[in-house]
Amino acid sequence: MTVTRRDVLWGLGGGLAGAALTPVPWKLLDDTAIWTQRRHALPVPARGPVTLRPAACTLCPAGCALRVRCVGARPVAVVGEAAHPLGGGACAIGLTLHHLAGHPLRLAGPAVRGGGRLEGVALGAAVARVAAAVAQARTDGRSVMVLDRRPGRVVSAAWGELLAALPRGLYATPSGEGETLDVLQRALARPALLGIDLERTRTLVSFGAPVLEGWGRPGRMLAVRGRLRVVQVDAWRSPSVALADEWVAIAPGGEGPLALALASVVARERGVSLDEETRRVLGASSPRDLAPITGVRPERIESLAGALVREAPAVAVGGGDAGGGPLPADAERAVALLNVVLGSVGREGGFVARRDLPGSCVPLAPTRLADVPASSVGVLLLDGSDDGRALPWPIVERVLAKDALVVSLAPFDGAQAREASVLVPGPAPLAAWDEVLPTPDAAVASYSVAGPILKAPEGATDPVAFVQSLAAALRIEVSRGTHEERLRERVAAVHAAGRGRLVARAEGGYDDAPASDANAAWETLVAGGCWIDEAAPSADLALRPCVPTGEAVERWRYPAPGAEGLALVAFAARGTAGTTPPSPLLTKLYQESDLRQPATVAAVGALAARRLGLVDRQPVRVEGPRGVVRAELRIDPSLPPDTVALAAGPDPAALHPGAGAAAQGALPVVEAASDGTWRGTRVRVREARA
Amino acid sequence: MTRRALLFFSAGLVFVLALGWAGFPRLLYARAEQPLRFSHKTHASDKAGLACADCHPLAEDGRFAGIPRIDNCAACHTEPQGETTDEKRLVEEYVTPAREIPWLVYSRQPENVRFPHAIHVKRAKIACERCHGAHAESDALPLHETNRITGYSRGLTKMSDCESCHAEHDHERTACLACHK
Amino acid sequence: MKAGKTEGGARYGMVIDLDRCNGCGACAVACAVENNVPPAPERATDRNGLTWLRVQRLEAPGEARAAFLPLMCQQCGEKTPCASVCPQNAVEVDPASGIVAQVPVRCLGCRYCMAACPYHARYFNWWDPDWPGRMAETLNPEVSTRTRGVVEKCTFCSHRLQAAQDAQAAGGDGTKPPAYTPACVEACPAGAITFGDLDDPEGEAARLAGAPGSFRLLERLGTGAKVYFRTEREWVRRLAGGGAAASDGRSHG
Repeated sequence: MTVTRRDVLWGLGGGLAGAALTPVPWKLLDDTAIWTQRRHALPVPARGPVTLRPAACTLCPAGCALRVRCVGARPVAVVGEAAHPLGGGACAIGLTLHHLAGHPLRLAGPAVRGGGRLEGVALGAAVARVAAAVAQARTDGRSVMVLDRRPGRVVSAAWGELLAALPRGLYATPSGEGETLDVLQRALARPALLGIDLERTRTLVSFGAPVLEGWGRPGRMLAVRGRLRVVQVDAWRSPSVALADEWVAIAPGGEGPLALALASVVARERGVSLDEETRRVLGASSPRDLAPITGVRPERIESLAGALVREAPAVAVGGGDAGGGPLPADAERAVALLNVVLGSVGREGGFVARRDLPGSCVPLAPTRLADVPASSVGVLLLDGSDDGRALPWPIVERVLAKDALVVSLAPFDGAQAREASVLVPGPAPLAAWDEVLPTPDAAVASYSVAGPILKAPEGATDPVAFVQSLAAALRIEVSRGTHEERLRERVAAVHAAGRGRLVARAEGGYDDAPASDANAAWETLVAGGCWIDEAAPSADLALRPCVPTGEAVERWRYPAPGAEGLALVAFAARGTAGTTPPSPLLTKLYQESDLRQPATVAAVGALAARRLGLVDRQPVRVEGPRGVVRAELRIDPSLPPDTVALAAGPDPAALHPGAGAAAQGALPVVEAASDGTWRGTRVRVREARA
Repeated sequence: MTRRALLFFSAGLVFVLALGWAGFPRLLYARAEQPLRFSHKTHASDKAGLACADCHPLAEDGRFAGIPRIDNCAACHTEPQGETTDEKRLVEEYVTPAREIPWLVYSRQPENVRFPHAIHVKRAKIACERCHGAHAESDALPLHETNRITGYSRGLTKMSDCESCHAEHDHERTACLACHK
Repeated sequence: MKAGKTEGGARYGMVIDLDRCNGCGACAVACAVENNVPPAPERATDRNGLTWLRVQRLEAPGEARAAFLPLMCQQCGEKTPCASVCPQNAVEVDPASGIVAQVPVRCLGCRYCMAACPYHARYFNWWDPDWPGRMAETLNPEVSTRTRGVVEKCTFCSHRLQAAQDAQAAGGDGTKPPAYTPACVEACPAGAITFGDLDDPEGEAARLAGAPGSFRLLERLGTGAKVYFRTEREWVRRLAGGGAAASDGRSHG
């Protein structure tokens, strides 16, 4: 029979009826609905047994103790150790530490930068290139410099060994938050190490140091905060100002002159006997003389000084902040002088002597970066450790000779590594050995060790191994011993000193765990324990005169007429402006909420905005001596006139890696002075044309 | 309806019925063999004498071990215990190089589902066989079939199955948070 | 939707001490890490960000001082505004724990609940989640990841409650509601957040919540929120809407 169209239609009708009786239409509907949800291809986290492993944060010198929660071998979260005897907890940035090993800016292996591109090379080739440059520098009479942001580690000692064998080896450190203590230490008649007895301090005057939001060991500050009165001296309303008991708003650059003016009143009120030089300087630094440049009225300076005298012990600290950088040397001397006349050096609640860590690793006296002669360095090796502070490239570039070779050992690209031609990345955070040394403010020495939790990838080179390879290539003898072996030796030295106490991490806290031998001490430390020194016996802390230079005082008394443009106040939270890129999750604080000012925002006062003809939220260009960045203007009524506040970190380009964003924030714009500071930068803020 | 129409109608009906009930599943589900032939019967028998919890334990913190990892097999199989080729492959390809066996999972629930073995096994005292079938009797692992559209395995317990059991036995725990994360 | 509380259930709540909070943001970041919240794309702003826990800044009028207030889903009681408006029944007040459960896979993204929430504590996934580099390897398997187009919010880390329940069952430990710690409580370096069963008369959270001076946000709306705040600073209390502390110790919103 021939099949007609009607037959086909009946067949189809039967098929349709049949289809309704099969599971096909219902299943397809159901499954397609499920498919629409699954097609987004969300990552499925692997499951596994959960373990908690001890670690220490490497993003800044506080080295807060951490517990890393691992699912199988993967770290999924980080928790601070609340009960740590030196002060517990972890900051928002440390809580993202486990993201960094997988950050897009993490380098996979040694590389050479050429023509704007990174090209992977074998370790041997990279080392050979560096060795050749070192030999060349030797011929040219240039120095070989290592810039170590965390001096005092066994890695630092390894560098020291290498540099000591070179004719012009320089071991340099950037200025840090302990600068005030460094200045006081240098002024001591008899050398000693200083710390601050914060537990018994009554008043803390901070000259631009972010004491309440990322300074020293934050856990310690939290613990003492209730007993402390904090006076914050800042040119802008920093997070520390928001939390302090009193804000002394100064004009940018007013830290030094204010400290000096306070010192002159304090010295007078306390009837301190002074040497000739100091008396002369203080005589020329009355509140009336210095009020104009500080932006603070003389009466306020007088009453503040009176309060410091009454609410003793009072301690003054400088040291700058992570984004604005160090204070000028004269300002630090003024802060140190204020401490001297307050009588806080060598007393309970003030600056006290502390013992050095046994097995100290500073064999080569560090040179301050600011003291290195210009254009004298032929090879610069940037050690991979991070102090969480900004270091604008011009500060470093100043010391480099023409065609100098820059080598970076940081695990990440970005920041200074962008200027390096040879990169030999070390292991990323949580994949490396690290030590936690006492912070500058510590009243007693302490020590702990953190071992790797993640396996370091093939391409990562341990810094000690690199030093040994380079030494071998240069035919220099350095001690054998891997990073871990050197750490064990150091722990043995600490144990052999026979003082202090060892605490072990236990469920719900820390317990005393005296070690029977060096091995036991090592096991305790590697499992998350800590060694804490005893208080040092009181020492003679007599001081030589420590005053700002006469020239500085003259400049402060007779400030030059206002320069053009606005004063740039750069700032950043510690840990967001260093060599480690921020975890993309920090957008929670810097972009998805307005808790912290991001680097994409430039804040000016209301009058300044009006004068410039700009409105809130307008896109602007911030033009500095070295570059231009774009930002969004915000009006902050608390800012002094002629000031613009711009964050130096986190770099938005690093928060959104791969988005191809241009660099923003203060760092591309600042002008570095020869003394290693960048606080005097002046910028123009103009409307940005799209 | 004419006989002819009925003929074609029935033909269409039967054809689609067959396609829908027999052909469609073959199309919809992707079949895959497990990497090794594993006999629960052998392991549960007197020869090895293992109970469910020996290889599929419940940890102290309540986590269920799921499919055992290679170190569980390695506890006995560092050397071949029998004569099968599959066991030889186990030892050579997995135990010796300490490589995880890529088992295909039958019961992997979607990511937003939380099935607490601890509560069902310890508190409700449900026997393993009730949900997972009589594995102790099976000599080989069942064929693994994955739905090509949804990506889930065939026969995976659905929400309606959980709901019906809870409605009957555990009226208290029928809130979203009882099963979802 | 079941109403009321399960026999033997709990009512988990939180008391936040605003005088201890220093605005460090550790809680907000810990929450995002724990709950697989994706980082924002470049074009996101604070209006469309995904912050289950957001730290708000309270400015002292005419002064430089600021106080900080961590704000998350206030876990309202039975009269939860968001639950009553959801067309999909994707929101439910869990009778066994009092937690307002949100089931993202059921949500169709109408955002009615976001409009209904008086605390602005609900957030929408405007974009496909993207974890750059190998960040996806650090995701928490105990929390499901969400697609774009759904609303999400703080769950008082209900997955941690579920893990505690599992541990309790495995240990054969009875049926008292287990104690557990959400990520933000654990992360706070200042210990500003206390968490626990508000119905447990011996618990610290219940004691603080009932103590004189504790207040809730937008008390007058009667949402039955389970997040309480405490402060001894009058200006903070006023800005947070806690009203003046009455002489009988109870706050009037």
